[in-house]
Amino acid sequence: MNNQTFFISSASVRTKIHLLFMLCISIILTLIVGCNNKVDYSKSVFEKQDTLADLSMAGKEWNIHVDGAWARPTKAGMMSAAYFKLQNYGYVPDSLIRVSSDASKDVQIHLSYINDGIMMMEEQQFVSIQPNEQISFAPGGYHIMIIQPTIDMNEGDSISFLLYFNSGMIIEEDIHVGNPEL
Amino acid sequence: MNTPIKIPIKSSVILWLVLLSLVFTQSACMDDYKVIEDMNDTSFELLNQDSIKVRFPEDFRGQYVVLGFVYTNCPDICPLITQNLIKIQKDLGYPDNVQFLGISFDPKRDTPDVLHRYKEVFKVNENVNFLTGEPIIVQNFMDSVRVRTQESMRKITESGKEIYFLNHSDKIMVMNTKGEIIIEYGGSMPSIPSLIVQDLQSLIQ
Repeated sequence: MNNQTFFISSASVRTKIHLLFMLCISIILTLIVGCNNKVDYSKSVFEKQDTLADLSMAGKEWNIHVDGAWARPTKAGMMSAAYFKLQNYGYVPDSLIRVSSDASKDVQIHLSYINDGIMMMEEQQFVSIQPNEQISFAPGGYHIMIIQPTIDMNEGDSISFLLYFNSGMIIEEDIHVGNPEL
Repeated sequence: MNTPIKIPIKSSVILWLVLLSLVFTQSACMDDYKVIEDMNDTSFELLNQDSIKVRFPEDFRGQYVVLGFVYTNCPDICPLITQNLIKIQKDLGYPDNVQFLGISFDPKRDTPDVLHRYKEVFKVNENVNFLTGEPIIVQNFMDSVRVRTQESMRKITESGKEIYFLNHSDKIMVMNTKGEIIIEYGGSMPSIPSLIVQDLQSLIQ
């Protein structure tokens, strides 16, 4: 009997030990899983922060500026051109695809270039600008052609332009009439 | 008895050097201004922006003439050529003995009236004139100075305007007092005015 009791009691102790062991294992596992979850959670928060950062940058993803704009003085019915610098401070490339103005119904993007001693000019369907890139619209190169304006463009006047980009963004720019090169 | 004149060796070397430098200077000057084109072979009857007849080159004999070649429908390059003419005149101090001509190679469109308005836009003084003429005469004139043009595009715009553009040579030339073209440069380049001013100053002095 005693032996039996011993065996029973020792079996009970073994079971208890086994249960304790199982409990420890499950606590450890729970802790591990819990910690892992915690890590995962903090990671997801971090990702969330990134996403929030992206969202807060959304306005800055597209960030193209127009600087130093001017247009050549002319008379109604003649020709003029506008010049400026486009600077892409944003993170995405874009293209200038169209320009309109209250001075003329016909405004085009053109490029002048020299070929074998002959000056040539070609209409451009678009002008691409990469992030961090600056494109100069300057005499003898890219320019905005203002065909036969309906009004006199006198020195000191201001002409309103809309610059349309492939992304759908539009820049409204009042361009000063005057010739800084003279 | 003829006594030979003795020149010390040092002095003779200096004398030779002076003579040689004079010869080189003279030849250098002559090389700089070779005649590119003698315009006296033909006379061209043209019209200025006030519809006044101008005989080229006779009317300009005795004066230096700076010639630029433009057309008024050109929004980018020709204004650069015109403003280079203006800069040259300004940097020379508006001299009376130098004439400035903007000659149109688009005479059909550039009538005297159009040229008059073009002149007003650039606010130039009376020593700057814009010339046009009968298309055949203008064509002959352009051939004589080797100014090439070619229609590059003609189209009707969205608003119904007919527009056309010309590919063209980019030149500014200087004609001397005898009716000879002696200097030819690219017309629209920003560095051109200072070079021509330098040349003209050495010629006028």
